[in-house]
Amino acid sequence: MFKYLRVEIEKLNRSKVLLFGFLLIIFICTGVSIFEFRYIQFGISETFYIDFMLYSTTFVVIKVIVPILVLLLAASVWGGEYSDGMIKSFLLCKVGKTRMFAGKLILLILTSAASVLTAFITFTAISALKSGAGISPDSVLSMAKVYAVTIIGLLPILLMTVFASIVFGHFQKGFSLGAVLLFLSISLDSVIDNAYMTPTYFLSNSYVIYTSEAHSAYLIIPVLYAVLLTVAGITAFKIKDIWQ
Amino acid sequence: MVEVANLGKNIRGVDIVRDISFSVEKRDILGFLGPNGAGKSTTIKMMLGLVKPTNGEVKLGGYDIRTQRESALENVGAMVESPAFYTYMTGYQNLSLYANLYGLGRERIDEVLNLVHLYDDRNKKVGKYSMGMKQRLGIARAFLNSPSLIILDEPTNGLDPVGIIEIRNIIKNLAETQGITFIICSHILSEVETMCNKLLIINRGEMIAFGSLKELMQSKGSHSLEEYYLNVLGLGENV
Repeated sequence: MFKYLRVEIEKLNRSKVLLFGFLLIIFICTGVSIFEFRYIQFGISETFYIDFMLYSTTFVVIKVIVPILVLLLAASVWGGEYSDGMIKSFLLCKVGKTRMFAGKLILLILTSAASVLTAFITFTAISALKSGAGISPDSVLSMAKVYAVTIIGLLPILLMTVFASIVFGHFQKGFSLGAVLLFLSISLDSVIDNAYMTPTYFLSNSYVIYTSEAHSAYLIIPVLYAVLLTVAGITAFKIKDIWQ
Repeated sequence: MVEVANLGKNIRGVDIVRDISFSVEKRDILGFLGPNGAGKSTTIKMMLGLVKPTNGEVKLGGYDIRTQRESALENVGAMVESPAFYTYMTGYQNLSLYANLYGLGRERIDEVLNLVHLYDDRNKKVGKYSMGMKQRLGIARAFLNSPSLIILDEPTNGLDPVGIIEIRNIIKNLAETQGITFIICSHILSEVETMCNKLLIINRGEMIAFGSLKELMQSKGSHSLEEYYLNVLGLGENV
């Protein structure tokens, strides 16, 4: 599995997708922050850092833009590689389907984590510059926890896209379905209070961890989704005939 | 080396491949022929474990491809349909991905690149390769793990006449000197006639001929493979 993971990392590294992806996230985060400070009259107060990280448009980056980038990668790694014949080529090199699935999934989870981390570091650095470095280490740690759990919140929608990409064996179909589900689910989260069962509930409401003491209970749904969708993904990949 | 028994694939009630059985021994070069849509690629994909057969079994080197896939593919190299590569990577970098999986060093990559005459172009991006160069790289990838069985689907597709002769010589040489077994799908009958000692022909998913190339041609009194091929397909008088 780790040999195959190394292959996945090497090819992404050579394509410079990761480099450009992270630069894009930094660029978007900076743009969103400038927009926030310039047009939404964000005042500097004691809770400036937490307000900025949780309750401003910055969170749109975590809820929508980072997931979209991750879904693009997931659809490309599965649907794109299937239709290009690359999955077939690697399967001929006696790479087992389970090992391939695990390698690609770990890569996607690592990339999601790195994307969220990039956004977190960029926003924190911008906050520090804006507030004159008046941010307490405790606040940074709290926000790090909130952003870290959004990675778990990303898993259900990521795995749904992986599943769709495997079933359709096509980049556009996999990504479109993943993106539609993401927007639909986020919309439901916005209009329905406590829509626990949506795949993005944890992503949309990860700030509840900051305010709620019962945060571990909220973890059950995304973990359940992740387990079920991982099993569904492996099963779909194992039974799929590789024609292309 | 290769045993295929009663192999079949049915998709939504339609038989794509029906009841195909044959065996290939060490050092054999089997020519696999059939018209477009006859089921050649499906048969090869089933043999390599890419497509699940509806019935029948395939054994490669004594291992069942369905239940012992990794062992069965341990000593197999294959190029199925047009070879796919990452176009943003060089030929060398593409092969190094596979070499890492096999635990092979750069010496082996250089060796196979030399074998297919791509060594001088190893640092060129695959996106800038011609079709023939991609085909050679696909063949190099199939040779990479020093397999004892090599399955090539249209290996000379896109190659110029000199390239065709080179690849033909490489195949014959490897079969003779290293005892490598080859299964070669091709539409170029003269190529199959020159290279192969065994022949398998399928049409509409069914096997219509299998055996020694010479014996099959003698059995029909054919003077060339082309004549034999058209005869067994029932096209002898129409063409």
